[in-house]
Amino acid sequence: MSNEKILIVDDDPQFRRTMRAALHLRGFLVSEAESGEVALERIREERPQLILLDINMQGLNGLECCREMRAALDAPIIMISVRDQPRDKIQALNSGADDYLTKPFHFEELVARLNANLRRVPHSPLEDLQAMDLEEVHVDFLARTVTVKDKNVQLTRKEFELLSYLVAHAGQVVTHRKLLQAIWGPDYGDEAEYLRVCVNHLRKKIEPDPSNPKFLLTAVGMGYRFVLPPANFMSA
Amino acid sequence: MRSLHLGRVRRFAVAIVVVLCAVEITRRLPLFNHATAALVLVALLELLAINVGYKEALVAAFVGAAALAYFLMPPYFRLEIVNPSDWLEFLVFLLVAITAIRLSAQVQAAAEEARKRAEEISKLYKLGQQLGIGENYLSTIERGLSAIASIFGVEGVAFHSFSTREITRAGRKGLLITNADLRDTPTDMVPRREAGPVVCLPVSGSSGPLGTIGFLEPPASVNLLEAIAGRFGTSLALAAAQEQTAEMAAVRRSQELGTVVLDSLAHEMKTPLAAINVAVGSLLSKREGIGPAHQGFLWVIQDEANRLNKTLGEILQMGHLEAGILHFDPETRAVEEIVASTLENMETGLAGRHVEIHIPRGTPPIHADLHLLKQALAQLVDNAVKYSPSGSPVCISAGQANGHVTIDVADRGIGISDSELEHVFEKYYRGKSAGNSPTGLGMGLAIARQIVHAHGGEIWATSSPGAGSVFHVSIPSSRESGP
Repeated sequence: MSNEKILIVDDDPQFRRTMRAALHLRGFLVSEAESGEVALERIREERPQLILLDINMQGLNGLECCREMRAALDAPIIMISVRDQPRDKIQALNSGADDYLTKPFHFEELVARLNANLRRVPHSPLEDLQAMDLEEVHVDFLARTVTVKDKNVQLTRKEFELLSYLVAHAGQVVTHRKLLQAIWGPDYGDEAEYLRVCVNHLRKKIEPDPSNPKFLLTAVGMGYRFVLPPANFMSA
Repeated sequence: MRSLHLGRVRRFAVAIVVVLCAVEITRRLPLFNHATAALVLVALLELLAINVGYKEALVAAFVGAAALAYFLMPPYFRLEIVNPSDWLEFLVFLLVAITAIRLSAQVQAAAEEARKRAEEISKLYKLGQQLGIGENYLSTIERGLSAIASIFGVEGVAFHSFSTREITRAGRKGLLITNADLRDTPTDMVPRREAGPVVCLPVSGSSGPLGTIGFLEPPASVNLLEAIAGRFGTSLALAAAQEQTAEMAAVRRSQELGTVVLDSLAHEMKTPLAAINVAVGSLLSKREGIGPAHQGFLWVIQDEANRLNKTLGEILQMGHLEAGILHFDPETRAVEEIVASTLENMETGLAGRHVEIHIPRGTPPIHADLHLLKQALAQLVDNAVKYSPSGSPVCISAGQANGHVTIDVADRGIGISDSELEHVFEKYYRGKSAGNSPTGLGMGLAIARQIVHAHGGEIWATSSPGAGSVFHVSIPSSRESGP
């Protein structure tokens, strides 16, 4: 029994009721919100550990709601939508969602996604690297902080994990599937757009010229490769 | 013509009588000599030239000269002049009279021309005011033609529109302008005035030729007709532009409406399916207390929910494709990569079949929405697997011709008969050879066709029954392609 607090935001009462009952049976503590506005109040009171958020809602829609939630808390947000086009997924991820599920999904798939997103501590592949410098960017892997020109820059959990994984495999092309499985979880592999969005955000934070990346390079159709400046081959 | 002739004769008679009367009066008045009579005659002839006519005045001048010589110059009552000074006077009279007549006739003609010009300009102005834009293109044509007919007093006017290929007529005798009159007119700006009573002119807008306008016995110069055609063309071009804008707005509105309808349909149907899936999934994972028979029912519910979802997905996608509201996100990719990625995503659907891939080196890349194109290819591979014996291979090959890349998916199955080949890409079509196995609406190939068409490509099938079928997809190759 996991006992993690999950908030379900959806304007369909029947769907909320079913989800609540089914997730309760799996040991989750579930609360509901019937609209984006209510959800924003709930997260302040209840501090849920994960949010399941429907995109298509009256009033404050899912994407706007997601943006506001992201500003207020760090918990993973799984966006739920009936649309399955890559463009819709990218839109959701750009609004700050961590994952995207298309309705109707299978219950076991949902549970797997919940567990993957709730997995707090990632297995750190970094054993011999504590810190690195990319021109004006300093990354401290132990403290999990990034500073650019001595200013603190906030990286999301996924962004930090992606950076760590790529740096640990610096110089090699890491395939989309491998990256997705390492960072999102073993059930992932086809969600190339997750990586695209995350890499774009990461580049904006660490690359001197994000549209012309120097460190985080794309291997077209295959994956990504991190080029570490030579000065960084220092070990612990 | 008879009345005109009579009128003319009358005018000549009037001119001659006036001149003779003047000669007679001056002859009887003792104050007048032939010199003063000649002066009076010149003044009268000038008035005649202005008020009666040039030719009439000229004839009257000769008659007056003769009367002068006959009545007023010695020897009297003989058509003879003996005095040299009389001769001189006689000749000067003729010269002055003729010059005066000609000058006043010229002034008169210029005034008449100016009046006509002013009238034409005011009529053109009036036409410009009445040539408003109607509710649509056709009503603008009708309005314009009846304005032309009434303002310029044309008895028949007709317009052959190139865009609608229709002929519109106006005026009492509009029907006398034949279709051939209008259709035979070339579109260069040379007006045609041939033996017939119809004058045809091309009508152009800013974007090019719009049609031909024909006038029946126009009481106006070709210049004026050209000006009329020009004004008419401008109003038609405006109407066409307005209609196009309105059409685009209507298409946009209907697309927006389509998006809203399809989105709410998706939401309203997929949310209950999601609830069913979650409920059934939850029950299936908690096996205690549920007997095997009831578990079977749960599987049925889950399978049927999946089937409903698949069918719904096909309907929604077809709706998006047909309404032209599916979002495209094209990128340039190598054919190998597209094929490999298609197969990778459908591993379970391949049912363990061996897939042979032949993609020649140098096959240019294509610019396509990967998500959609992969879906179309997966449908073809899925079909190949479904309609060929298990264990037989499926072959995917590529080639290039005429700036297109073709991707062929071949199977060694039962094949498709010629009569069926025409229909396999139609919506709801179910192959006869499929027997009773397939499920769904039979929209897979119809969707694949829509996707390929949306990429500017073609899709077709060839088959030899018994030996297998080949589905061909041809997509324009990317311009960024290498040598």
